[in-house]
Amino acid sequence: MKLDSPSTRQRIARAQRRLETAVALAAIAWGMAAALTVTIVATIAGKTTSSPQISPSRLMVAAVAFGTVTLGVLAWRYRFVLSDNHVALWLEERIPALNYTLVTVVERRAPSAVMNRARLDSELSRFDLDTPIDRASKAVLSRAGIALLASTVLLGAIWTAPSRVGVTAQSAPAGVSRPSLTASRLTPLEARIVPPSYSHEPQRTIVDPPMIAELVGSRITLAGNGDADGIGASVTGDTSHALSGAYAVSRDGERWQVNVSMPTRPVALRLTDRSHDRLVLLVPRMDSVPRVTLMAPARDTTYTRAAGRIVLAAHAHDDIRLQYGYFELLVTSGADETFKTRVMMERRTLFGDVRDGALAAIIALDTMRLDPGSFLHVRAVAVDGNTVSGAGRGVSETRTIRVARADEYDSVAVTPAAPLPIDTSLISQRMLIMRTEALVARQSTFATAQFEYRSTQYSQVQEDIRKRVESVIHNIETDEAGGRFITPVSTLLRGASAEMWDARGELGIAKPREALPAMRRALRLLQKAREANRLYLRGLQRQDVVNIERVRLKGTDSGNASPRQPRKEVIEVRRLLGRRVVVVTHIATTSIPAALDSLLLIQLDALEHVPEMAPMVGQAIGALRNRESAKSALARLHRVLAPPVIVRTSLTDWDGAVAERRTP
Amino acid sequence: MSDFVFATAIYASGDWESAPNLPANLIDSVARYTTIDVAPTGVNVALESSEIFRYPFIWMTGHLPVRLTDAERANLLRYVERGGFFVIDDHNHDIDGPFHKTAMEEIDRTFTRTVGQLVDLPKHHALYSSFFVFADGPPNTQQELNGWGDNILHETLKAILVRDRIGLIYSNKDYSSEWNTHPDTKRFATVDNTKFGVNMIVYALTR
Repeated sequence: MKLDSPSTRQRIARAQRRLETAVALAAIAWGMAAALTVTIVATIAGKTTSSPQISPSRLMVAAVAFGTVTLGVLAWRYRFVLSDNHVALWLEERIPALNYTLVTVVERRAPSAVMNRARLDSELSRFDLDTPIDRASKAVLSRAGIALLASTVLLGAIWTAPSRVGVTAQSAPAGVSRPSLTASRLTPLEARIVPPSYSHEPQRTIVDPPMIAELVGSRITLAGNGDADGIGASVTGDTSHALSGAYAVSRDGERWQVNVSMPTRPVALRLTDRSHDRLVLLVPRMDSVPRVTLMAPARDTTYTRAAGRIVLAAHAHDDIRLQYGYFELLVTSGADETFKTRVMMERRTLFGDVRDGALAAIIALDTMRLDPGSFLHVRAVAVDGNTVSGAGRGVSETRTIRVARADEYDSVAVTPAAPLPIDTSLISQRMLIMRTEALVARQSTFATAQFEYRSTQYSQVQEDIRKRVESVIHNIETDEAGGRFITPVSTLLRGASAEMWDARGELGIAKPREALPAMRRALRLLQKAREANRLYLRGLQRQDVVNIERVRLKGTDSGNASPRQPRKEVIEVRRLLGRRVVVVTHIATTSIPAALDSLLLIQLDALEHVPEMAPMVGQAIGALRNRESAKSALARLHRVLAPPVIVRTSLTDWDGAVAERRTP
Repeated sequence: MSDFVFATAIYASGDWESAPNLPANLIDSVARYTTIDVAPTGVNVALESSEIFRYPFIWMTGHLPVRLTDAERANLLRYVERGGFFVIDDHNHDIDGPFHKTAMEEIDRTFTRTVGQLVDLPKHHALYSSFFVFADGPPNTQQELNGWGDNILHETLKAILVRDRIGLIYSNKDYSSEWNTHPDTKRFATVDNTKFGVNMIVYALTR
């Protein structure tokens, strides 16, 4: 037997369903409003502060999580709609006249309900249960709807509002405050780079680059989100530059783009989007000419007659790709004032697009028609595959091969002179090595005291040789005025002296075997020093001595010199850059973007005039972009660019920086 | 103050000593016309040696191809950048000759990407009025007037300028032949043809 009244139960069930629907819809609306609120807060924070913006994916996760929590809280709060008893109670609260009749009907176990079902149904039919349901549903839904609508409208307004952080110092004229109503389309900025085809380098894409350093001739496409209307691109600064002027900005679907080609000089490309702007430095990477080293012949030579074969060998290296190489031969014949030159090239060697290559050839002197007194200049040439600015041509050093004249057959035109001190040291060192090797070989035949005595004697000889070498060094390096000049030969001799010092020490403690390696190294260095002089001595030039006192002011013409004009002021680029760094240091305390732009322009000028300073400027830029303190980087840069002024009280002698003057 | 010393550059590839009388001839002229303290003999200094920085004026000439070594090239560049005055004179007087072609290549290789290119010196340049006045620019030589070499009268000298000052002069006019005579032969000449050399030296020391 059924205990419930179907009609009352149906009415309560319908009321319950309506309440459930209203609560569900309201909870969803409130959840969405909560998610939108999270987005609003994040957007406001990104547009009004300098803090790093949260990524879209993370923002979405946070919004969904917050919305879900809100939905859950509301669902839990209105969970009573899931119970018919609670719904009945809820109705009883709103319709006091029911006097708990509804609850009684709903309650299955109530004895009175079982007994008076029909009468209760009849009484309850007088009451309107729908009106409170409607009123409550409308209230819940309207509140949720208003919250959702408000959050949606607010978010839309904030998205379209301008960002205070993105405005640079150049974006508005001084004294004019003209806030933009649109967001910048210059961020994020994507740079697609296509290097020249000859380089075989892969294409790449960079996002938000402050500087693009690529091969000259690389095609660069800068693109961003949004349409192209209102986007401008131009090269700033030097108006005489071939690239100065505006670039066309085109549309690519829903993005804008501008195409540029990497120039031969660093330039700053300024992108503008109404009141926003952005600088991108274009820094060319030059394709170097190949480096060529002539391995053979190793030095200049004189032949008594033009016969035999000469082996030619060279090595070439290029930073990108080698194309081909060859040997170039210049044959010059003649005497006095009449000379004839023939240019010959050996067969080309194709390198096949590699970075390193070798050249080899053999030339027969017989076939070159070299007369006595002729010169043969040999050098290696390598060409790279640069198709943008033209193939780069690298050449090696030149070797000069001379054929002696008949009248200088034996002397090869060298005026006989006493052996150089290096030669005698060479001979002595060679003899000493031979004697030391003999001592080591016969060590077992010597008594200990005798062995030690011999070794000590050789130590003294080694010291004598070393002192002779030191005197040669002194003669080479010093001039009459007390200056000192380091030369390649003196450097070799210093190395030999150091080895001799070590050998001397070992010999002095009766360790000739341990001394031998140092003695042999010293010998090799002496030999190198002897061969280091590449001059071909064709005789000493006659030095006519002019009798100055006899001819002083004996000329009949006194001259009429024009007054000297002051020369243009030397613009010290480094000091100017140093002053600009000081200005940037002050700007950085108020506006990071303005400081960044200024530093980019400083880096551009540094690349042009003081390239060794450009990396230091880059460090300061990196610090600012990472929101770190750039004070130390800027201070260091300023110290290097603008060193303190040194006051001199008198003129210095005219000489290069290599001279070291000693005070007499 | 030290004396002015006339320096001749020794380079590895060519006949650097092909004008042996030139130093004495110009030293004589400097002493004749000016009060500059000048050393009575010149010196020969290797272009690859750091000794070149001791001399504010260096003369280089030859007939044979000019092929500088890396050390010579580096020294030459540093010398010119630091205010030295370097003269390269084609002893062949021939723009088709081995010296001119190879010297041009070496100058281009050394200076074009760093200091700048060779430019023609205008006739009103201070070099032509630094001591004597040469209103028509560089004086012609006997080699040019006699049709020797390339048979061309070269109207200008070429120069590498460092901040508006001449750092290197390149001459096709063969002053090495013109001035390669004993100083005492001046007394036989109607016009002393070494005066322009005095201009060069005075410019190097005073500008």
